[in-house]
Amino acid sequence: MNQRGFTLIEMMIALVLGLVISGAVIQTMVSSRVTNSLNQAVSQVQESGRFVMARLNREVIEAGRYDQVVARVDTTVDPLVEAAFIQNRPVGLPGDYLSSASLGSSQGGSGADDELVVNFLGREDCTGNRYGYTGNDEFHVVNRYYVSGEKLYCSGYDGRALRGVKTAKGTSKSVVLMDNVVSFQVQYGVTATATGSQGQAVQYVTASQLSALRAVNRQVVSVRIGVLLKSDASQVSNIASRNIAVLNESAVTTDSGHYFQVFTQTLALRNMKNFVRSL
Amino acid sequence: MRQHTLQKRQTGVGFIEVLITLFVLAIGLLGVASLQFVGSFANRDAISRTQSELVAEQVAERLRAATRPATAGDGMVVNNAYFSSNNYNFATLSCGSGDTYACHCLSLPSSVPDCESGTCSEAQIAQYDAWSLSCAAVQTNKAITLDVSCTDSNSGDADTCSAGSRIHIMLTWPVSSSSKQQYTLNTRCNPDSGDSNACVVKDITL
Repeated sequence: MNQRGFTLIEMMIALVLGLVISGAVIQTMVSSRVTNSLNQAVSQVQESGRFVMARLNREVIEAGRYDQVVARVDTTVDPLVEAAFIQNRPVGLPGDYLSSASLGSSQGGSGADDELVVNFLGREDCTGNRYGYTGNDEFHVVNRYYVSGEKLYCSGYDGRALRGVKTAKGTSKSVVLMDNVVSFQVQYGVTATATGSQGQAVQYVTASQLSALRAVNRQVVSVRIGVLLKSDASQVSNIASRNIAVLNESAVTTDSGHYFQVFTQTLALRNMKNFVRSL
Repeated sequence: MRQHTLQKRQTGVGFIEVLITLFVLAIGLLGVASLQFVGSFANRDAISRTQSELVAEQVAERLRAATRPATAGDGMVVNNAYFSSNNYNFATLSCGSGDTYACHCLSLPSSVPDCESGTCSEAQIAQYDAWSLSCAAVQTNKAITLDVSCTDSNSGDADTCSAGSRIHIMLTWPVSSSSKQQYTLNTRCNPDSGDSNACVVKDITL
């Protein structure tokens, strides 16, 4: 009796409304997915930046450290000569090391990545390698930070073997500190002529100028590190591209397929400031 | 007879009922959509805060790099120019349109001392540091401003910030509270009533 069903009009109105509602649902889900992956990319880049800065901070800030009072120095080599080497060369340059003449900080030309080599007295190098030293004995650690294939690496060395005063036990290793490193730049704050200097940086230079400045007794007392990181591939799309400058390098234009952020840090080398003031 | 009763019960759902269902569903979807706005605003705020934390740490480290032993008092001091607000936030630089980062930070502006190719005095280094720190601050949020001030412990000497004084590093950016995003406003970065700023503050001594 009441088997009338829906009329065609009712049916069509219902269909249209259903279409509108499901369209809205799909739209919401798609945009929430986009927002989510953008948030993920941003937080990933920020966490990476925070981590790599904390790591570099902890290791590089030690540069130039030599302590014969509190630290237990392994005395199989002459600690006085070693102290003089490290305190006058917080940043290693090519030609400093007898057994590896090319090892040293360098400035990459036209925006290419820089390399950073630091000397200090420590218990282990950046890879955790102790080269057979026993107990808590400390030795001359050399860490080299460099970028290869968008990865930031650190290689550790026994500085005594590099100086040619000892045969190294075990081999040097390298570890990857961070992926997705687009640019790694370093600048060095140098003092005026060290005698009479209060340990303040008066000029920020690149690695290529350091050896000339060292020759006139101008010491490195601070290091500026700039790292440009990007997010993983195909996480985000259609990000507005912009120009970013890392430290002194000329600006680079980012692409729209990654989230980019530059992290900079200045490190005051406490040991070097005190050393320079004591001269 | 029995069949007749069954047929009579098959009335289905009324058109009005369907419409009401759709209406309720639409309101629910609106809620989900607004959740996204709230999420992305919160995320933006988090980016500003993370960036400010990093910059504040950098300011502290720059000041430490610039210290010298005080001539009056026992401790470290930095040059007075570090506390001159003119040096920060590109106060003396002008930029035609909008984007301060693109304007001032892609290369060293001519009015900022070039401490890369030549040797600088203390005050010049302070100016150069202030410029590069301001650049670091505006990288992700153009509205972040940097302020370095000092509560001088000894106003008798020549230092704006005598040895042992407390230095305040403050990064501030404007926020707008809404019903969806309430801020607890810190009085230190909202000195006047009606201000609505979020901030990161660090107090240090050298």
